[in-house]
Amino acid sequence: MPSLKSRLAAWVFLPMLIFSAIDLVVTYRSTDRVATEVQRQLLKGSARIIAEQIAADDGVSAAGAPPAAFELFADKNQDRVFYAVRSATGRLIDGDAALAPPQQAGQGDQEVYFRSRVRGEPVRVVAYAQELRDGGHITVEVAQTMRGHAAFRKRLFLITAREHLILLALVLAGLVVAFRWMLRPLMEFSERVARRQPGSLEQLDADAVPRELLPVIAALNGYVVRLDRTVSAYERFVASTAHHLRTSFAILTSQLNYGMRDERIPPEQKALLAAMQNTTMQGTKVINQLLILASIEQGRQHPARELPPPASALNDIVTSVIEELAPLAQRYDVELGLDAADDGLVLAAPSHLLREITFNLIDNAIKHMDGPGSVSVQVQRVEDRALLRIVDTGPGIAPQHRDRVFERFYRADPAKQNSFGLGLSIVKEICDSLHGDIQLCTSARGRGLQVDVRLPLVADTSAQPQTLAS
Amino acid sequence: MILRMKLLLTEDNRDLSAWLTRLLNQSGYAVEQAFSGEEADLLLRTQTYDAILLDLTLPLLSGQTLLRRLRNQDNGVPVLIISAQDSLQDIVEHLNLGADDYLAKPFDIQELEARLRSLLRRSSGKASPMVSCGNLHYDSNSKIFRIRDQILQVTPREHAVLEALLRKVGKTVSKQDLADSLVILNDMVTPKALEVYIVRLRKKLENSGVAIITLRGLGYMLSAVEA
Repeated sequence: MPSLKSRLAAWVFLPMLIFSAIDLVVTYRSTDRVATEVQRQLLKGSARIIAEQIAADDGVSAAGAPPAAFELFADKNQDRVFYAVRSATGRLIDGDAALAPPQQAGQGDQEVYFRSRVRGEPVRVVAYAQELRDGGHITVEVAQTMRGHAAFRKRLFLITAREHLILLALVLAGLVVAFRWMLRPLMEFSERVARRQPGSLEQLDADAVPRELLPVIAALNGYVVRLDRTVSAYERFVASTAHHLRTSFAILTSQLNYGMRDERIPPEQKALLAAMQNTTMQGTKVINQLLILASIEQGRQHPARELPPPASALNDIVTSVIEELAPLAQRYDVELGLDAADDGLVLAAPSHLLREITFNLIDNAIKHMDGPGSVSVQVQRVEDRALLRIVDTGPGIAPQHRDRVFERFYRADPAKQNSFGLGLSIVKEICDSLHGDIQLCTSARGRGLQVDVRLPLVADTSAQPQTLAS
Repeated sequence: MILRMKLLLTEDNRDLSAWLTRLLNQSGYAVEQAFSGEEADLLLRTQTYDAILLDLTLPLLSGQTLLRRLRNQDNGVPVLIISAQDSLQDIVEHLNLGADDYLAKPFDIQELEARLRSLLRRSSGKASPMVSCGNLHYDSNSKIFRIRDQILQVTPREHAVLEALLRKVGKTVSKQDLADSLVILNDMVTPKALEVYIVRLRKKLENSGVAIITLRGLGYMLSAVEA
């Protein structure tokens, strides 16, 4: 459907334009009539002067037509005026022979008008009949070229046309004002809706909108409430499921711990218990990852819950994650290090989400190494953002997999059993929710993966980082 | 454990409570069980404990309320929250409410006991003479390192380095801090010399389940690893 603006413009401006066009055609015709009438009056006046002079003189004088007869026409259009006096028989008595005789002479004082040509130029002619005292009568013809007529008609038409144009301009200006002032609340409303984060379940404020939009807002808010209720129920379900699973896993872990401590149990059965414990840990990891995904989703739907904005020191988080993963790196024979560290980087993000990003990326880098190698972590400031770069010397990710590794449950190498393919999708979703971005590329050395995460810094650099007792 | 530490385990899941009690008894703790907040509250009016293990989702009286009540009564008993709820927002809140530490379910008994030990050590106000990392134990009274039950022979300088690492187990110690730990012995140590001690210590710790890990750009870290 076309926009409101274009519809309004079409319905107001187009009829105006059509009306204007019709009116101009009508005006053109009437100006032609007025101009013709004016010309006729002049021609008639002039012919009468000549005719009355002849009647008074009882014949055509040697001096010809009186000059007064032509003074009437004095104008700047350089029209040419012709006259001819003819007897009742049509014989030319005085004047210009080039002027054609009338088709039918006027009766008595009646005059006739007609169009003709004199030496190729169009003229309007009046033929005026005059009774003489001797009972005979003559016909006086006066003709004028059409230049003045056309100029007069044009002037009249232009005056009207100008008025129309002014009117149209006024209407157009009025429309612009209408768009600006009347549609502004609507535009502001649609901008407000567009500005909301995708997936947001915030209520729309009904205060600052025109009454006509209230039903729309009520409908949207009602929909949001219903959706929120559904989502909340879903979240409660997820939370209570997670709670029960964790409790069951906790019991299982305790039982396994107890079994492992029993001196009477032979080593091969202890190995079995250890394997079971490992499986339990993996299950726990998946529960935790799913909960994190749910909490990111929740954060997106209710951004207001984050107030006041948190502030976290990136370097501290990265350092503690490296320390936590050091034993894993040792086990995989991977040399782990922090090669660039900018101490002053404070991010407007909850520290547990930053920890999650860092942990998943470094954990991934270590576990995907296909032999001894190294993982380098760098924390730098690049322009107005923080750059977290993790470079490994592993096999890397083939370019055709790079877009898909961020999908949930996608695994570039399905043969690897120890992952469920959630780690990178969590990283990606956290990045999105924090208005950051993540890029994968081949490291500068031509082998291995380089992951660049860019995150916005906290606006106020004096903000105190939130610290978590560990 | 010379002195039997007395713990209050507040956990509404009876299975989990029973198994944790068995495990903690094995490790020498005396454990009393409470299955609701109300029950825990009653016990706390008449008994004193060295530490409380507190679940948050308790029937009748929630863990949060119990904790607040405890702290309002100026009862400074160390509280370790064990919870299946896991939002970091919650954790921060509870630590602000006066919990001393937090452990998410499920947890390994070794992790729980390590946290308990450090909690009890902190609350007793004096450094414990025993420091451990995996199979490596150090008694600061006798100044002896042991791996499992075997005494680990070290030179005075190795001793200083290993003790500094063990005191901050799980955290990196910068080369500068390690060098500083040797100043007590009136030694000025070059980074090269320090590396020599590290190499020697590593050799002695081989197959012990404990390793000195180098973290490029950060320093050295002592950590339990798979033997």
